[in-house]
Amino acid sequence: MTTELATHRPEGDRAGPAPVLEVRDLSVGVGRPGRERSVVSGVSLTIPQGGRLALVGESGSGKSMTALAVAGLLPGSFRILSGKVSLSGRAIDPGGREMSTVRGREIAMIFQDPMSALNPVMTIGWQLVEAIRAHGALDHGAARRRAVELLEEVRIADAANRLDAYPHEFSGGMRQRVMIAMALAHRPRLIIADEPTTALDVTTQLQILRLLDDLCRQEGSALMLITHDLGVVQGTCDDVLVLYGGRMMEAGPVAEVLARPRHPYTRSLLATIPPLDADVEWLTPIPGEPSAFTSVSGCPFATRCSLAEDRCHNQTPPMRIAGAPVQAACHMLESGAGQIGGQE
Amino acid sequence: MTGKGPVLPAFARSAGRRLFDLAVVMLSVATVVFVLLRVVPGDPVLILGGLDVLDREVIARARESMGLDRPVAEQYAVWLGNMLRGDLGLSLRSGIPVTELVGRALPPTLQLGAMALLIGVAISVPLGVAAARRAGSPADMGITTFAILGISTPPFVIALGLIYLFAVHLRLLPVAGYVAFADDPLGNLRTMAMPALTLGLVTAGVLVRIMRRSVIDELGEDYVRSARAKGVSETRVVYRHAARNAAIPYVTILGIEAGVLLSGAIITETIFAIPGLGRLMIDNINQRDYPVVQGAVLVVALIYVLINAGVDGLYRILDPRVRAGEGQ
Repeated sequence: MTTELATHRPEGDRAGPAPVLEVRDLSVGVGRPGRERSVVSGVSLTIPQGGRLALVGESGSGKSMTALAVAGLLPGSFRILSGKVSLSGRAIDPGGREMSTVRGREIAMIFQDPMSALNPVMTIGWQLVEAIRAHGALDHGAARRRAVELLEEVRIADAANRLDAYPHEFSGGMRQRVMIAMALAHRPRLIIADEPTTALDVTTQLQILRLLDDLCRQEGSALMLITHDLGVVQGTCDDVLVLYGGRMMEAGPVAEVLARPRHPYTRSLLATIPPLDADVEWLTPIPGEPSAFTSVSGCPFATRCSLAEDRCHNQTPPMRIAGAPVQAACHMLESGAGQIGGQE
Repeated sequence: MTGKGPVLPAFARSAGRRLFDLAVVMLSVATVVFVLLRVVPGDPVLILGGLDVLDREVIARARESMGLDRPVAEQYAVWLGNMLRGDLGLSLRSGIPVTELVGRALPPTLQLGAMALLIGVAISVPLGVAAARRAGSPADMGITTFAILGISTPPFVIALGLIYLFAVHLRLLPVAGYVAFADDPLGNLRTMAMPALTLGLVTAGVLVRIMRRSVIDELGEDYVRSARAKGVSETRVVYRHAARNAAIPYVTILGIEAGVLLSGAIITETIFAIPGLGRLMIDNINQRDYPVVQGAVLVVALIYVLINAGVDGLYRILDPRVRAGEGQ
């Protein structure tokens, strides 16, 4: 169960069932046609059936845009510029009309802010029934019974009596449970969770994450978890893809990447997490701040990287093997970047 | 305040508060109108009799019979007392009870207002939503241009344009006049069509812009993205989610526009010779027929207050958060 970023792997090599999601060279831009600036550039990823991939990066790294592009939910002026997306081996057009038959049925999404993700003037039950009846032919009564089952699955007590409640009568954690219930309505093959716990308080975060984890395993759904929290990644995901400035920085199995990060950016990201087994006076912030758009040439992290030299600013480093099975996009892998490893 | 007195259900408490508000508003309006009319220059007796009535004796007698010789404070007290009993006095000019005059003028105005509002809503909801869905497109610009024209064209210009088109050119509708609905339903609708369309177009202009803006705002909300993520069809996303939420700001403006319609009715009723409240007020202001003007203004104020209560009621239906906040 590994996520392969085998961009160069020949088609014939593939064994077993097609991956749930395969993205090749995805670029997303914003602005008027012909004058777009890209926010995601050349992102490729693969999630096998039941696999769990974490997309990690700071705000503006392009992780949410990648996910929204796959689901065909890019906001107004954003568009996919190039790239291929396949679901279970079938190519799809995320911007196309037929996506409404895919969304909610094959791909479900859970968003960051459960406070605003539910329609404030409709009851919880109405919104669940809508999700259920969007696909399949259940009548209203049957859909309501199914809605109660779903609420019970996400462990909302007294579910039958909660159907007629409005979102404002629920806490943040409860609303996120409702969102998860909606996502599970059609047992989708892939659930995309975009920072599902960021807006919740710490105790609730863990509960929601565990619930999501349990239910995905139970239903056999693959999970794409978008987060800026590497601590969350550790317990939940198999693979991790680190993004920066809309480009891929490093990808590989979670255990491998967290233990021996190859890319200077991944290392600085790890340095921002307080270690549990040692006292530290100060955490190391990453100097500078990310740009909103991808650079035309050069490594997007170069301006904040302590190892950067001239070519880092001029040539975009490609993703390459950085001690299998990890891949990284860095010019400095040979000149020591790859060997520094771990947290000192 | 809390904890004392009998505990009333939230609805009864809010209804009670609304009744109290209504009484305060009506009393204030009555007072302001009373004072204003007496401050404005012009003597009803002189205007009624013509300026050539110079016989002091006649004038004094006329004053006395109208109660105008008494101190202003006393006139106010008497008028207020009568008003509370539902007696708005007699017209100085014709001696007909004001309640009767107002009662006769009310139905045409209410019908005109209701039809104009209906036309305004029927035009603005589909056009506003259509423009919002295609924001920035030529269709959106066309609709927005129509809306701005509706807002900026004076009602009398629209009225004259309609008269030229439907009455003079196509000869489909009468130029002006009024037939009561009870006497001749079809004739009534034929006479009311153009005045209602005039006011309806003006109202639609404002409402289209509000609907468009609100739907665009709502379409950018997270819950709309959630609905799309569920695989809900785009039409349903727009109407059941975005437009449903956009209805809340829309209804606010609708309430204000309903009030604006009443003042628009004055011009429209004059052009189309409809014997409504607007014309009743204008005619009697010119004649300084105090009781009639006071009565008419009072009824208009009552309509305003009722419209506001109606808007509050609509909020309760449209927004569950308002219902929840009521007990506080």
